[in-house]
Amino acid sequence: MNKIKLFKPLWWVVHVLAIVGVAWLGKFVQF
Amino acid sequence: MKKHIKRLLIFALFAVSFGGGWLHYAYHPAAKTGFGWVPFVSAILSVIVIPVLFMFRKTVHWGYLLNGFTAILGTVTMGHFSFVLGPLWADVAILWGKFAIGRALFCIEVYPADANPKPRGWALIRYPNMGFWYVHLALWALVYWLGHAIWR
Repeated sequence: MNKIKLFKPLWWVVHVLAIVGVAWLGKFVQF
Repeated sequence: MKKHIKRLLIFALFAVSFGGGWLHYAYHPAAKTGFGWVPFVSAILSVIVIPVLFMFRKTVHWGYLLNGFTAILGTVTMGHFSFVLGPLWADVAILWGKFAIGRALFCIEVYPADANPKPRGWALIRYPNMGFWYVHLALWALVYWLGHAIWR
């Protein structure tokens, strides 16, 4: 099974982008 | 039989997503409010992209990941809506139906029919186990809330 390895450069890139993206989403969505 | 079940599940995923996307389009057309784009893009992913990804063995992992994260995205945004404007928990429940269909498609493709995997320790919260999704749901909610409360 293809496991996504933790703490590799790609893991960091994905997580930094995801955190910024989700935080921005929280700012963007104004009900 | 496996192929037949797979086709049924892919159709179920398509139908649930199509229904959800349709409801959203009726609630807030994408062009009218900025954030209407969020369910619009999620619906395109869920109705077209994710069922196609689940059709091929090579892309099942991508389908599983996208399906799970669109379910988390919907849970967090509709949970937010539920606290601020009005309860949408019924819609969140439908979303977890979509999640379960995706997980069933993943399991039927990846594990042997009689497998009974019992992850322990660290593996509990690692991909592709359920703990992975619980951790990501909790952290996604936290980061979303921090962005909402702090980012100006």
